[in-house]
This record gives sequence, structure tokens and C-alpha cells, in this order.
Amino acid sequence: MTAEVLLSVTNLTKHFPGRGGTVRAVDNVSFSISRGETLALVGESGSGKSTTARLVLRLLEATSGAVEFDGVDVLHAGRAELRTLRRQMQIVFQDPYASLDPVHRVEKALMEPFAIHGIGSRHEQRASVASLLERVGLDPAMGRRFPSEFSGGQRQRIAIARAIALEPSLVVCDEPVSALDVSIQAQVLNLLRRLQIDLGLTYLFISHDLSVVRHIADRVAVMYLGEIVELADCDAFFSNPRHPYSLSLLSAVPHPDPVVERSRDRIVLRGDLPSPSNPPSGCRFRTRCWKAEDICATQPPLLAADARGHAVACHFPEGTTRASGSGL
Amino acid sequence: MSDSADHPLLEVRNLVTRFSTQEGDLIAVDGISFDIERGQRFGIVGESGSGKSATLWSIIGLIDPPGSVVADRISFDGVDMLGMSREERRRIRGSRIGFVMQDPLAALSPVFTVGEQIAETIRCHESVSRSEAKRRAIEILDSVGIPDAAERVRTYPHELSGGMRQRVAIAIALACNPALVIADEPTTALDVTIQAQVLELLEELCKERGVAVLVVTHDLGVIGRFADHVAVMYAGRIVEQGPTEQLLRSPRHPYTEALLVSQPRLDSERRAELPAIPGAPPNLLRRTPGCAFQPRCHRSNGRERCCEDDPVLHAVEAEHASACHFSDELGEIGAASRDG
Ligand SMILES: Nc1ncnc2c1ncn2[C@@H]1O[C@H](COP(=O)(O)OP(=O)(O)O)[C@@H](O)[C@H]1O
Ligand SMILES: Nc1ncnc2c1ncn2[C@@H]1O[C@H](COP(=O)(O)OP(=O)(O)O)[C@@H](O)[C@H]1O
Ligand code: SF4
Ligand SMILES: [Mg+2]
Ligand SMILES: [Mg+2]
Repeated sequence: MTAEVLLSVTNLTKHFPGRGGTVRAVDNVSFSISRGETLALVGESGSGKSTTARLVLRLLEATSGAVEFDGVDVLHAGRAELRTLRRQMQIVFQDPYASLDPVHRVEKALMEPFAIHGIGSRHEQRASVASLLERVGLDPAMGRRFPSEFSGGQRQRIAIARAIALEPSLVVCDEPVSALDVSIQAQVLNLLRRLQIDLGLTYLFISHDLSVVRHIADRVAVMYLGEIVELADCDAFFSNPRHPYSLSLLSAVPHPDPVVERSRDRIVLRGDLPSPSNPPSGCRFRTRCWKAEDICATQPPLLAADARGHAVACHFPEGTTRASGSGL
Repeated sequence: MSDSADHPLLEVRNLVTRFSTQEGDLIAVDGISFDIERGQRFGIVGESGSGKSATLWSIIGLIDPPGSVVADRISFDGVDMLGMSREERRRIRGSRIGFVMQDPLAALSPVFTVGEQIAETIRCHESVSRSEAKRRAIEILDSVGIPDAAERVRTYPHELSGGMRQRVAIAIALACNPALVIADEPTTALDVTIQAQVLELLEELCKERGVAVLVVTHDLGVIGRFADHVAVMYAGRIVEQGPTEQLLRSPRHPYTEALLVSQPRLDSERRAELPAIPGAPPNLLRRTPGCAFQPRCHRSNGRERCCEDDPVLHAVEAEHASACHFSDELGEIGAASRDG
């Protein structure tokens, strides 16, 4: 099966000028997403996930690189093209409190996308809003209310409704459940999954939570200090993580079963994330890596894929396939 | 202090914390009781608004009017804390009880160096010389894993990373060799690799210094990783309590059970649909009769008792208690959902 590539990102780079030197927020990042697929972008805060998302949507201008969406050169699209692109690419942010204007009724927030693109009469727009609310599991009558009357989970449903209003093909979800209570996260994850099936959506799903990623993603890309260090199918990644950083991330996720916790090999990384304005030479992970040797300080490892397409950027990647499929 | 053998380190009996708000009286903590033993790692888990922080602040006497705290007993090392003056309580807080908050930046002063703040805490509670306090500050920073402690005592909090700041906050909490450290979501603001470092540090402190730690979190993973005893809070009450392993492997309250199965895990079966908990936590301003979890409960099936009678926390096994009328209907979480 050769799936159709919807989004392809090549050598995408963003450098911000900063007081302490240039911040290399995103450096030579390449990946593609097929139609209907979910690619998860994982990594610690500051690794460049949100910046990558904003570059892809052209909410931010790239320093260099290319983004192609459904055959269109996003980074060089003119105003008219960009307008069309904006209908097809949407985003859901982490904070459902910041994403809605408190002074407008929810109905108005949801009618806005239609109004901006001049779609339908007011009456038709109202009807669309009602069916959108229903689609995300809210009572259509709730459209008359103000954002302050909604819980965090309900607000995130509203943000999702707004993102899917114009039937986009790509939705970027930037930590969509991270700010929600644990009892609410599953509801929103289920909703995102159902919408993907019903509407044929493609997701770029950003998260720092590997358990959530394992649940939702088809493929996983791990970022560290602005670079992708591992990119693989979800199953391959979790059963056979190859980059030392991926191993340490997986190992750091605490497990609610104390018996499992006691039996795990735990890798506790020393130190903090280095500054992105002065990343280590060679492999950027080497200052925290227990496998680092001389070559790691001099040669940047390239992202290289094995025969099955499992790519890793490390001079000494883990290779052996392990029997257990749990990633623990 | 009194003989340590015959009473727990911390004893909380029937604690009730109220806030009067414009919309009425809000009962944030509704009659909870628990004990913490010396050297124990005690966890309180619950979602936001369940009353975890209010519980901690009530214990250390930081609830100010229009909030009010009443309890049958709050005692530390056998000494009644409720009857204490503000000054007496302040003395215990910071010396015998250390406190670590979620956001260390809010807890640290921006205008003093890290070393000055630790030394100040020591000198506030013990009569030692300036140079002795400074020497101890370096020693404590070193013991919480801060590299180049002798240099770092001169840095200001904003010059440190989030993980380093939390270590400093822990160092301050430890400055006077407390018997209990209370930590309110100490790793929530941190990345997972840094969280692992901080949990490891807290674990070492318990082992090496025999300090008891009370950790509050919303993350069952942190509980499984760290706590040996846990209380699950929902809507201001403890709905389940017990030894961590037993409680998380064989939960006896539907809320605990639902939380455990609704969250994806690294080793769970990958299924299309997560068994989510419907609805949202109740409004504490408008308590309804019966079980607070009833509207969301998958076990109630609308049974009358759930809607009418307040379930009370009762023993289901030695040391394990549940506040569900039908706690005997719950057992071990299916091997499928646990081991995938
Ligand atoms: N507008 C900006 N100006 C300067 N630096 C920025 C800006 N936006 C992001 N950064 C920096 O870029 C890096 C990556 O940030 P971000 O993409 O937000 O990471 P993530 O989403 O993975 O947490 C960080 O070091 C951040 O401080
Ligand atoms: N100072 C206060 N005034 C009024 N209500 C408060 C105050 N502090 C906490 N509350 C309320 O008490 C309840 C419990 O809060 P809290 O203990 O902070 O929960 P948690 O720490 O579990 O998230 C919440 O409904 C909260 O809104
Ligand atoms: S008392 Fe009833 S509603 Fe409450 S948890 Fe038990 S079964 Fe559910
Ligand atoms: Mg981000
Ligand atoms: Mg709190």
C-alpha cells in the first residue's frame, strides 16, 4: 500500500535571534505525513515542537527549508493560496482557556470561520454551528453560553469544533490534552480519534506524554534540541526504541503499578537540557548520554533509516529487538 | 518531643476546610482523616479541585480567613497543632515540617541568592553562626544533587533551570532536618526526565534520612513510582485509602478503578476507544445527597443507595478502606487491562 503523502517537510529550520546568541529552535527537520495518518511529535519542553507546528502552518516564517501540503509550496504561497491553505490546515492549542475570547458567546466563536471565508448565510452558519457542537459531544443549545460557563474539557471540545468547522484535511494538535484533568483526557482523546475516522482527518499530534502518543499515533518522531533524533512506526518505536534519548524518555514515564515500577530498568538522565542557543557539538544529546564516545563530540550523527524505515540519529543506536512489546 | 513509639508522626482526624465565597459556602475538604508514620512515603492523588492543596495548607496552618479549618485533631509527633499560636506553628513549619510547592519560583525570593535563602532558613530556626549556616547551605545543596554547590550558593533562583530550582526548594525544606516533608505537586511543572530525577532524590532522602514525605499529585504514575501508602481524593473526601500496591492493583472504589483504566499506559492494550469517565467533577457549592461520584459512576447503575445515602469510608481489608456502598463488587483489575 502506498499511501498518499499529504504533508512533506524538508530540512525545515528556524533560528530566532536572541540575547545569548541565535536560538536554534528547529534545525533541519524533515518528515512526511500520509493522508489519514497521525504523526506524533514528542520531546521535552523547548525541543522545538510548537515552533515546528507554527512553521508548517506558516504562522511563523521559516529561516529555511520546505513545506509541501497537498502539492502546494506552503512557504512560498501567495495570499490567495494561503487563504485556501488556512481552510485545509487547522490547529488546536493546549490551553483551552486562552483560545476562546471570553466576551463572545461560543456560537459566535464557531461562526467566525464561516464568516471569514464567506460561507453560507447567517441562518446556514447557525445550523452548521449546531451540528458542529453535536459532533463534538456538546448540546447545541450550549452555543448561547459564554466560555466562562464551560469546564476545561468542554472548552477543548469547542476549540476542536472550531478547528474542524471548515472540514480541513490536516489538524495540528499541540498538546491538546496536557492541560486537562486526568479524568477528562480520555474523553477528548476518544473524540479526536472518532473525528479522524468520521472526517478522514490527518493529525500532526504534539505531546510530551508517551503513553498518550502510544495510544493515538501511527508514527512517532522524537525531537531533542530542535532536531529529530528518531522517527519510526509506533509499534516499532515502542517495542524497539533505538535512540538513547528515546530510551531514557520511556524509562522516565512513571507507571501506576508498583510491581512494574520495581522491576523496570530505570535510566535517570543526569543534568538539564542544554541551551538551544549554544547546543553541544556533534550529537546534541551527548552531554546527557551514557553511551557517548569521542566521535559523538565531533561528528553530528545523521538520521538514517534501516530497511523497515526505522530512522535514528545516533552513532551507537540500540539494535537488538527485544522480546517484550511494552517498551517498559 | 514525646515518645515516638506510640503515635503516628502526623495524625489528621475529621479535617473540614471551608471557604466562604460570593456564591456561598464551599466545603473544599469534607471530613478527612489519615495518619502518616515516620519515614513513610504517603501519596494523596486526585484531580484539580479535589481538595489536595487545601488539605496541606490546613495541616500547616496556612489557610487564612475567609477560609476556616476545623478538625477533631491535627497532631504532629504527638503534639496538638490546632491549639497552637501562629508563632508556634510557624516554628514547626520550616524546621520540623518542610514544604515544597509546585512552582519553586513562587516559593523562592528573587532578590536573595540560593545560599542566603537556605542559610536564612537555618538561622531562623537554630542559633548558629553565619559562617556555619553558609557551610551547611553548601552541604545541603550538594546533598540534593546540585553540581558545584560551593559556586551555586551565589546564584539567584531565576538563573537556575526548573529542575534545579525544585532541588533548591527541596534543600530549603530540608535545611533544619525535618521529620516530614510535604510536597504539593512537586514534579507537575517539570519534564518527565527531570521529574524522574526529583522523584529519585525524594526517594533517597526517605531512605537515607528517614524523613517521611507527603506527596500530592494528580498522576497515578507518580504514586506507583513513589508512594507506599495512598489516599485517593474526590470532591473533598478520601474515597479510597490503602497500601499503594494493593490499592492500585485491586482498587475497591469505582473512581480509582475508572481512573486506572481510562488512562493509556505504555504497556496497556492499544484499543480504539479508551474507557473514559463521563462528565466532570461536581460543583462543591452544590452538594447533592448520596455519593458524589454517582453521576459518573459505571458501577452505580442508578441504584437508590448511591443517590440517597452518603457512603462512608469503611475497611475492606486490613489498612485498605473504600467509600463505596458496593466496594465488595470490585476486585483485581483484569489482567488484560493491566498487563496488556
Ligand atoms: N518567538 C521566539 N523567540 C525566541 N525564541 C523562541 C521563540 N519561540 C520559541 N523560542 C525558543 O525555541 C525553542 C523551542 O521552543 P518550542 O518550539 O516552543 O518548544 P516546545 O514546543 O517543544 O516546548 C525554545 O528554546 C524556545 O525558548
Ligand atoms: N482561597 C480560596 N477561596 C475559595 N475557594 C478556594 C480557595 N482555595 C481553594 N478553593 C476551592 O477549594 C476547592 C479545592 O481546592 P484545592 O485544594 O486547591 O484543590 P486541588 O489542590 O486538589 O486542585 C476548589 O473548589 C477550589 O476552588
Ligand atoms: S456508592 Fe454507588 S455511585 Fe458511589 S462509587 Fe459506589 S457504586 Fe458508584
Ligand atoms: Mg510547545
Ligand atoms: Mg493543588
